[in-house]
Amino acid sequence: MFPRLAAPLIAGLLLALPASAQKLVAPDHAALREDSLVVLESQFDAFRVAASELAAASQAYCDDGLAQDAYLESFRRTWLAWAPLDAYQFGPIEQQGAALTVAFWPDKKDFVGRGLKLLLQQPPETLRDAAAIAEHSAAVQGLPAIERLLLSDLETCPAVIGISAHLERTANSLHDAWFLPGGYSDLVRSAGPENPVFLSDAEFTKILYTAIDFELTRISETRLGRPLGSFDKPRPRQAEAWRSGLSLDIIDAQLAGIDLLLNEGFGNHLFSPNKSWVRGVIEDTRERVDRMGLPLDVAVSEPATRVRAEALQTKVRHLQLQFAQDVGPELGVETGFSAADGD
Amino acid sequence: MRRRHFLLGAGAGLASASVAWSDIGRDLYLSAGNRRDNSTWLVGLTGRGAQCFALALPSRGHAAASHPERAEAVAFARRPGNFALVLECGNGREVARLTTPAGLHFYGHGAFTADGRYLLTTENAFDLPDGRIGIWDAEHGYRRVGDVPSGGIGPHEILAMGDGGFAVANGGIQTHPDFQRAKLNIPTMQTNLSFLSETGSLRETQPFSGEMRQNSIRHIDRDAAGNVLAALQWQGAPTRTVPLVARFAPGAAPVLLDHPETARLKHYAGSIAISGDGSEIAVTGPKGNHVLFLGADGSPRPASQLSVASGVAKAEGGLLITVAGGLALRRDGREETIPVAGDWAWDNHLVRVA
Repeated sequence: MFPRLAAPLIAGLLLALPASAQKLVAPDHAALREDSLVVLESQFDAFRVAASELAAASQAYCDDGLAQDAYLESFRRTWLAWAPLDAYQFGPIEQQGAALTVAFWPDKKDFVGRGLKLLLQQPPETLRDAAAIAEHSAAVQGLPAIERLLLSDLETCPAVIGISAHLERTANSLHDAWFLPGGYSDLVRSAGPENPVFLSDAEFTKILYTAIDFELTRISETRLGRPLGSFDKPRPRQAEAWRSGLSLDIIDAQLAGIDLLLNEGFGNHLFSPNKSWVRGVIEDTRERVDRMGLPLDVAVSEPATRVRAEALQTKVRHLQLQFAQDVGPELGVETGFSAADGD
Repeated sequence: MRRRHFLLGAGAGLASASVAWSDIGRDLYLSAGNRRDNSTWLVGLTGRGAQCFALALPSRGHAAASHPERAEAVAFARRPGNFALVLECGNGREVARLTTPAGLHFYGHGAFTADGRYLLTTENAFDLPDGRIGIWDAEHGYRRVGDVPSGGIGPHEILAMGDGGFAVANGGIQTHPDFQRAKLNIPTMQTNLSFLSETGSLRETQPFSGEMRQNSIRHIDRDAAGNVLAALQWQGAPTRTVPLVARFAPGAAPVLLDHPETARLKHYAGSIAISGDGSEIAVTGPKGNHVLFLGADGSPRPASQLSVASGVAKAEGGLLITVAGGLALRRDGREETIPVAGDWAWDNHLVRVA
């Protein structure tokens, strides 16, 4: 990859050029959109495939003696396939309310536990039925509910069959709402004065850039910030997916998703040293995740290891700053501010 | 003080030696504004575009509420903000800083009781989730008195009614600060307009029925007859075009007001105001760069193309609208552009001082 020092170095050289020569050409937003849609389609498809496998694995686990390790692995793959989609909370995910139905969290009031106690009063045939699950609280429709059923005293089967079947439906429905003809991808492709949502191609670029910024804030302030709490009062039970030990894997999968969108979605439309520089910072950040060496909920509780989680949080904030400095301005989508942001 | 004592002290005399609005100028408007360096401000403007003051805010503002007598303005953080600053506009002094209790955040709007004693603010109890109206005692340093139900999820604008009560636009959208501004319950959302008594108790709730439950009621104004006019934000299927204006009255069913140019707003009506002479309704569309106009009876009038038109307030004989580069004054069916110095980018709302 590009040497770390090169980007500031080149930026320094550029500063020596006359202002007119520094002016970067506006990106081709339509081409960037097409490249990015390829990335998004691969990510939504991966979630669809994983959710479908999990639905089959749930049946095999409950009815045919599939080993718990194998089942947990399918569960893990599904959550990690969902993780990068957490950034895209607009369009179909928003329209279908999927952010909560797939991965209900944070859950200070234990809606998952309380909802499952209610759900488990239903007869077995209801618990196997995806449509019946859809009638219950969002907290029992997704991955945290399956996690709780697998890793607590609650009766795992057959509720995981109905929940994972419902999750499979959700995954298919999200994919189709994005990519079938007439779906959201066609809506963004037809930006213009007559488009019901998008006036220009640049608006979708801004949505994608904002999605990355959103996800990095989610990682630093929520996924890390919640369990970190304060030095005197860490809150390990507020880590996402602490029961299954996936907290850090989820963060890593999200960083990988951001890297993919940066490289293959935005990549052809960015000044190469800038892209390489930011990709390098992502790589450093992922290395820090890797070096944590302990599950997040354990790490935050001990002063000696807590510093690693704090350092990771600092690194994610640093990464966010690199996006703001080296990617946003070049795409012409500085977060800045506009009354058209709405409220 | 507990909630049931709310209004016990109503009618208590105003603090002496305070500055009244009339002391610092007439024809005054408030808007949150932002400079190119991303610094954030509360700006006081005359209807002719002269800047009276600019007071720094800690982060991006949304709407403001003006005290009925004293020259005090409350500048609210944009949701999901936790702060509101009460500023003495004559000298820029910070009178009080409101911070929401744990588990709550502001939505960016508030309104004073008719006597100016209490400030009511729309708030999100996000872990429940539930819409709340926070009550603050303006006579005692804006101490928090308590909170009451807003009548729905996502209370956004609150408006003082002529009879001393309030109208609250419950947008219906569940949000949580961990998700920043993402909307979490679109499939099941239910918007409504609620009427509260002068003590904050729920008098009446008017939900939209059928698919219109996804047509989020967000910003409101009232006419001289006591009707509430609402600007809506459509959250349903984006390929549908639905009316974005509605009229409510206590005890009557809501009426949707259609306009042939509704699609120009891109499903998003920003602010709404009734003109100073009561003859016209303006509905801004900052996403679509257009403003819709309707007659007082709801009949459509031709829309105008106005760049980033967002805030709107009644003006002498017409309407004042924040646009890119300044203000637009609408009178007799035409807009006059009023440039405002300072390279401001206006935020969502323009508030006319009482």
